[in-house]
Amino acid sequence: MTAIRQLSSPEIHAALSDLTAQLAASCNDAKPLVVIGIANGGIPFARKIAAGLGETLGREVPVGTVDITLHRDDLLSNPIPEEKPRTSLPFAIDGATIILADDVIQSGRTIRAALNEIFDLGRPDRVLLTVLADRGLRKLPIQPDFTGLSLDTTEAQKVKVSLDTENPEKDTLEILHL
Amino acid sequence: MTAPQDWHRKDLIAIEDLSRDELETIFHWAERYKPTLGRTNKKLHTLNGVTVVNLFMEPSTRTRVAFEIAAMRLSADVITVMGDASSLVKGETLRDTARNIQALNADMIIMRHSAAGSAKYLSEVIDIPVVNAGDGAHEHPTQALLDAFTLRERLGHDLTGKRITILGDILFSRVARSNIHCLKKLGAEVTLAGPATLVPRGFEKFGVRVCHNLQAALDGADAVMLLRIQHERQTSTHFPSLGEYTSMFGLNEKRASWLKPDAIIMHPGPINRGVELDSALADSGRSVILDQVTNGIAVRMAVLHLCYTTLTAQAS
Repeated sequence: MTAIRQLSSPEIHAALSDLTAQLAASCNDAKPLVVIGIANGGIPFARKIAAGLGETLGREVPVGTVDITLHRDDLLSNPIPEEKPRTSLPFAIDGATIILADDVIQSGRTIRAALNEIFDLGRPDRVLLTVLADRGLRKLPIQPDFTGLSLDTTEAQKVKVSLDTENPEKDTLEILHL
Repeated sequence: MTAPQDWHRKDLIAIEDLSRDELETIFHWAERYKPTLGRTNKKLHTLNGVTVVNLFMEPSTRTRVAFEIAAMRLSADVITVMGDASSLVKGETLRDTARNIQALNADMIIMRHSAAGSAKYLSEVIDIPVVNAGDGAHEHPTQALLDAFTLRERLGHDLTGKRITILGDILFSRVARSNIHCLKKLGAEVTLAGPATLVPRGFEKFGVRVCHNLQAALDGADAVMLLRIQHERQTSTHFPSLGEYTSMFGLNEKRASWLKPDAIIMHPGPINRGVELDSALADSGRSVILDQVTNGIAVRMAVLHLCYTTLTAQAS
């Protein structure tokens, strides 16, 4: 695989700051606010968003994880699942505002599955979708509410995101040719 | 660490057929399914639109209901047919029954039958997945799976070297046969205990220890699995009376003290309270009998999912 384009950590951080500011402006009411990352790639992204929001809003914003495995639409063709962290929502979601976070959106299938997983566990007041990168190529009518980076990609490419919650200077995003 | 995994079967007939990797695959999915049993919405869509027929030719409550719940949790439509085994003992009739069920566009059959080998026979004459829910004194694979799943939860995922004692009516028990195969494949050390008439030395060929001295059998064990005395499968008297069985082999507080201090007590149900197991012990913190029931749903969800997956993968 060869890298076609590489984004450095300052570019990623600029996108994260913009996203945090937009999210804070949309979530400044008194409703419970939580961030849920989609395993695996959405988890570090969710942590960064929650930390930034917590600082901006001056209150703690808890982070949870959803594992979409049981709601995949290709479940019956793949008996050996990828090992992922399990769904863990250590807070009440009934009536809450949920910021659903994933690193990259492509077809929209993952988001559909994540919404099913969340609604199996309760009834949030509203769900906002945020992604670090929208690479296009949608197959379902699902669009993010807040997008960090819009990328022009093809099916023959892969977008690889690596976010490090301990060492932000190591954050990278690469577009690779398969 | 992810355990090695493998699955290519459309039928689950016997634990004896399975590899350790296949067992690990079932446990992996059961672990995923178990937390969903406590959700607000317990229904998943895995088997949405799939028709499952529960063909129970022998009485059962627990297994039948657990299979029904497992299939419903996966959104399958479930129909239970309960029949009298006496009208179906001839192979031809069973074949016709099953082919008629398949002709109704059923997608899977779960079967309990009094004849050993009936599940395998059925899987050979029809195309849809067959899950054995107990065939005579042969095997009861999902019971062994839920027992092993419960043991893994309590004793750790690696059962290598764990000492498990199976106590009671081994001779007539399909549960014991399936458990012996399952536990051996997972590396456990298995001891069979009970009266010599119900625990013959012939079982040693499976690589297990046969022990007719109860204290020696229980000493230092990590878990004891009790089996119900199965009057219905006995054609002659194998012990003088239930009272005598209890006095010789019933598990009570004193005998349970021979086990490891943190050992667990298991029973596939239904319990004959006061016969093979002291009532207070059945309700104690060491008993995992109700965990076994809950885990029975999770492992059956895994089995139904995996067998059906193989069918759809073959079709595509």
